[in-house]
Amino acid sequence: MQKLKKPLEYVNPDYENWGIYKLDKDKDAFLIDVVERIIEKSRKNYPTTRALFDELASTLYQERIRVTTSRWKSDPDDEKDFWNNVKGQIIKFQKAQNWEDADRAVLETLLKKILYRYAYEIVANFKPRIFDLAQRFLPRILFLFLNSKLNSPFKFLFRKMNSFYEKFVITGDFDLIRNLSKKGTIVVVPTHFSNTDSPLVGWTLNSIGLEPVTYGAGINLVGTQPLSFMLNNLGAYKLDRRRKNALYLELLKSYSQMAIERDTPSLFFPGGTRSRSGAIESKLKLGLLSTAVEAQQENFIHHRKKIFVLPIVINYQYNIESSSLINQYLVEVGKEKYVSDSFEYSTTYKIVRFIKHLFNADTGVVISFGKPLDVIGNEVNENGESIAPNGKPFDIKGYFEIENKIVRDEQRNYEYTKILGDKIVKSYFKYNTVMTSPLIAFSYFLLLKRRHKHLSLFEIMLLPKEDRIIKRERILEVISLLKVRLMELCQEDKVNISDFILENSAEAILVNGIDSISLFNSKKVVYADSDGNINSQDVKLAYFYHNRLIGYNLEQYI
Amino acid sequence: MSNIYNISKPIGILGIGSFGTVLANLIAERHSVIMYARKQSTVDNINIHKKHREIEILPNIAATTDLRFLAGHCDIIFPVLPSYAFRNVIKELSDFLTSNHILIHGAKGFDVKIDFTKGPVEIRPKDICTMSEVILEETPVHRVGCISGPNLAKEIAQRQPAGTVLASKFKEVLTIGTDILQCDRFQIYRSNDIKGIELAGVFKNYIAIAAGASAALGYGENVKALLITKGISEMIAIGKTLGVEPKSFLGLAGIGDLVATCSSPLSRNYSVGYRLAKGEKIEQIIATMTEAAEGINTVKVIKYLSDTMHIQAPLVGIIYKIMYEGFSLEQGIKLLMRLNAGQDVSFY
Repeated sequence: MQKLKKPLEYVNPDYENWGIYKLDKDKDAFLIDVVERIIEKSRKNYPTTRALFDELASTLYQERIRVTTSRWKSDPDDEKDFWNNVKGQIIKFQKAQNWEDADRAVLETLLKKILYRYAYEIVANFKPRIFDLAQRFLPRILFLFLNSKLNSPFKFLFRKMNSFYEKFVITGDFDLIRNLSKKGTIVVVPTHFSNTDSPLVGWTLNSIGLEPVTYGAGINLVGTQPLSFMLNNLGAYKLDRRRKNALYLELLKSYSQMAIERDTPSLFFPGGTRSRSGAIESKLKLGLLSTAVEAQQENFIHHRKKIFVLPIVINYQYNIESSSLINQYLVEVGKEKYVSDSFEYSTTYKIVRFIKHLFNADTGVVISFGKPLDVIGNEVNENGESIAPNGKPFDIKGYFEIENKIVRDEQRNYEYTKILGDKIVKSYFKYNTVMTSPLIAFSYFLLLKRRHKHLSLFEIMLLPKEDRIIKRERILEVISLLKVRLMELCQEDKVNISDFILENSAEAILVNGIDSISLFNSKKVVYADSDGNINSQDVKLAYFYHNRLIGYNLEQYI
Repeated sequence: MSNIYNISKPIGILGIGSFGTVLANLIAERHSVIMYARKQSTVDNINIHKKHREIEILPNIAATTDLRFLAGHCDIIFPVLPSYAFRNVIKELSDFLTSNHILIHGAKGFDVKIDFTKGPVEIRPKDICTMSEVILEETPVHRVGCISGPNLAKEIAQRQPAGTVLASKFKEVLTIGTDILQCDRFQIYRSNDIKGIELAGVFKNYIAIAAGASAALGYGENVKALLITKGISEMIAIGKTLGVEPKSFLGLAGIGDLVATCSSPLSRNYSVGYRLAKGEKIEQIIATMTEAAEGINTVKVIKYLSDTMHIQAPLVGIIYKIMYEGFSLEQGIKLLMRLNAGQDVSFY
């Protein structure tokens, strides 16, 4: 496992060869391909004219509800007119009440019209000059802006950014990853705990010399935030989470799949949204992930590249969104048992505060690259060959074949996606780096829960201050036991541990954890009282950080 | 049924027991078949004398002692092996398997990761693998299926009609498997609950032992009906602990197989129970059997599992006592009658 000390050269220095650039240049032809493929699929999925009509009518119904009840600033001005026009055509068609085959062409024209509208709304833009600007100056400007200790801002502006790599620990087999990026198409699948994950992963990939990835960003974010211009030109395709209709979702999947087929490195968060509970994602959303498997099938048919899936685990010592995330989680699971007291800063404000604290703290972020996988979840070697359970390299093309002929089969590929999902989850647990703040939160919350075992989670949240005290000696004892168990797991290759934990005593771990965990929060998540005993001003946040270590069966060792 | 796959390569059969042999003959009616046997003499019998286990072998069946040859020529292989040998043979085969292969097994036993043969041990769900899980662990093959159902080999060999359940998570395995197996005397029902179907085939074995014993004592249909229905309840309770839904136990591979094995002296497990009731010791019975009766190990595994996991499983407890703790059958029956039986139907 390598640790990044300074940024690496681009594997592919000529941006004109970048997948994302080529996709942008060939945008119109690409969208024609995407729409044509969906039209082709629709002939199978909606074989009768009636079935296609029903789908279009359903799309119209859902879109009209959205247009009237859920308007965003980012929505185009002509939305109402567009859907009124669709409505007119649907009514006209329905009035004719003729379900003969000849009518299908009319409906397909309407289908195309809707699909092209969606496609041009979604499509990513990429401008190399803006990308270059963002990569070179954005982190420096932010650093400069936020770090009051710098004496000579102008010198710093043009200095190398190596000091970044003291705050951001990046680990992984970079040689292998860089090598594979030459041989195939990379699909990056990070854990998701924070809104800062996308830019952070983008910057990390750039640091190890990979070309930029395309990824989905909420259309509201792209349309309204101050950084919208940047985001809009850095390869993000735009997702509208209000839209759940089948045509839109199909377009999104086909877009993602065909971008991968065109050798565009991509990024998905397979957990879907940010982990609300703070736990590592163990149930993944397979929809977008399945596009990697489907793309691999098409690539085999057309003798194109192999696809490599790259899990990434991001560990923050503390998470500025923790308060709102855990509130959302507790509201969802607790329902009437939990009364929310959520308060969230604006996104921009949060990011500024987060980065400021990041640079004042001793430890920042650990970003761990997992071993690259093929689309069935097998590890791959430096030649890009998949490794079978018996340790030998083998060809995965056969998974898509019957008697050496590739057979398209969505159901089979969905089963493969589940296998891939399971392997990604295993990788998340394995490459999760335990830092001091989750370790002390886990120890504290576990002891609190044990002491009040007759109370529910929600009752524990409401305990008075004096009932939340845990003796310092007891928590130190638990931290020591957990450290021993975590080291065993680490030797079994089931988790990573931060250097600080490895090198320090339970006492030092506790002190470091306490210093880090409450950096951002107004309340102290875990703190030492005047007697040195351990308490919390916000038990739900202690629970949030504690959740990061569930799934390792650590409880049974205490 | 779709036939887009056009299977032209021979079908492999791994295992030369009575079921493997009749399965080979059944498939050979429409496909060429390659059987694998360890002994050259068996291979010669099949290739030259066209006879094995007193069963005539169809002309388009060939046999080999070479696993590489089998895997190289057959993309679809049916491992029909006793569970105790399953993992080792699959490991050996694994070197020659590729991503192209599809494996559909016909084994009805467990693979247990801890040694349970020397006496009571704690067995948890994680210690038990079904045969499809063994294949997934040991080979690069993902497209796995199983067949399970009331398929007494002698009856199939006599060309009597029968049905079986073909289970796989993969629709293409179900389509291809059906295409290979189905004929006018062998009906195929499909299921995507492979683990449920495998467990149904395993669990019914110990109920068959009890049924054989009851027949030996001259008990009639009332006891048999009691064993079958309460046996199903018990199977479902244990199945739930292993993470499967009840519905697979209610079909051909569950109730269907249970009815067949609880009624037929042709069943190996039934004959184990029968001989036990006639006073033979379990060691004697094992020593004289030509083919494995999976139920003998199943009783131990399920007994230890139900004890560890606190599952109410009185039938397996009583059979275990009779087989390994010197209980007489009469004592066993008395114990069953004295139990607080509780609700009739307690699974949903």
